[in-house]
Amino acid sequence: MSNQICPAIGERIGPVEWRPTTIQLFRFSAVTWNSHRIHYDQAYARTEGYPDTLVQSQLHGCFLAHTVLQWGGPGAVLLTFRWENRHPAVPDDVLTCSGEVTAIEGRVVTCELRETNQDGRICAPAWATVRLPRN
Amino acid sequence: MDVEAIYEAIRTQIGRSSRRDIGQLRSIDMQRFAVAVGDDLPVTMDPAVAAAAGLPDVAAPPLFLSTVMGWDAGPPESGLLADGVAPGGVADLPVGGLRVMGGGQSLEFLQPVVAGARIVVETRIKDVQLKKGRSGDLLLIQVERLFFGDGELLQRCVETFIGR
Repeated sequence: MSNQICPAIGERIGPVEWRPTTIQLFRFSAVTWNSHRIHYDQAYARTEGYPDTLVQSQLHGCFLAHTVLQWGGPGAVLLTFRWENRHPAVPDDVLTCSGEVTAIEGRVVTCELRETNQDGRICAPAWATVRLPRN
Repeated sequence: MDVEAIYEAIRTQIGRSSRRDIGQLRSIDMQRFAVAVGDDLPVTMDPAVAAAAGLPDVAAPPLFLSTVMGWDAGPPESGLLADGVAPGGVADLPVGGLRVMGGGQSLEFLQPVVAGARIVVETRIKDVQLKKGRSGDLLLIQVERLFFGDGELLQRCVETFIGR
């Protein structure tokens, strides 16, 4: 969107592809001081019935938040943001974040977003309001 | 695991709140967070960009404050639960024995969160619900956190935890 003067209702956001890796999950756990084994110990994750280690709940949120900020361009600021974790993801999944503008009031834009995996399942829906920079 | 008994124990704590000084934010921690996410946010990575935006120092990625799970050294490995989580990790609630996962957050960003700010967090147990499903009982626990920087409310976060 960064080259556009003003968005329109229905304008598409993304898609942006995120491909979480084992190393990324490890580093995200490390920087957030999250020692939950389900994010780095594959054998443990399997004891809970998952095929591999799990992408952290908040990393899904980060993928979505950063997607809308990239769309907003330099100077865009999140005012509100909400996401819900609906379906797990594992390393090497292809997570695609996309959305659309649903309302506009001045420079404040409301958006609906979603993160889907390579099978088309929604891992996390999200909702954001963003204040766009002045032109 | 008696999920219903844990539900009752948490229910008695709805409204309980606590306040904690989590210290001064460091730019390197924010920058490592951004790098781990995979997005080199200019306002986080580049002090010149932050200065041009009128900020006194680099700004945290939006989910930084609400995602970091430990602000102190934490317990030794021998003090962790079997799943690797530190006891008391969910707002000191009695969830021991449950498998707890993050279910999402609802955030309001009121002021920029910048390096150097001294942060105090107020935590309040907001709600707990018991859901009976085909695969067993589960709890939906809501915890509200208010992050203050030098006395000013910067960010509000309501996080949902799912306990099975």
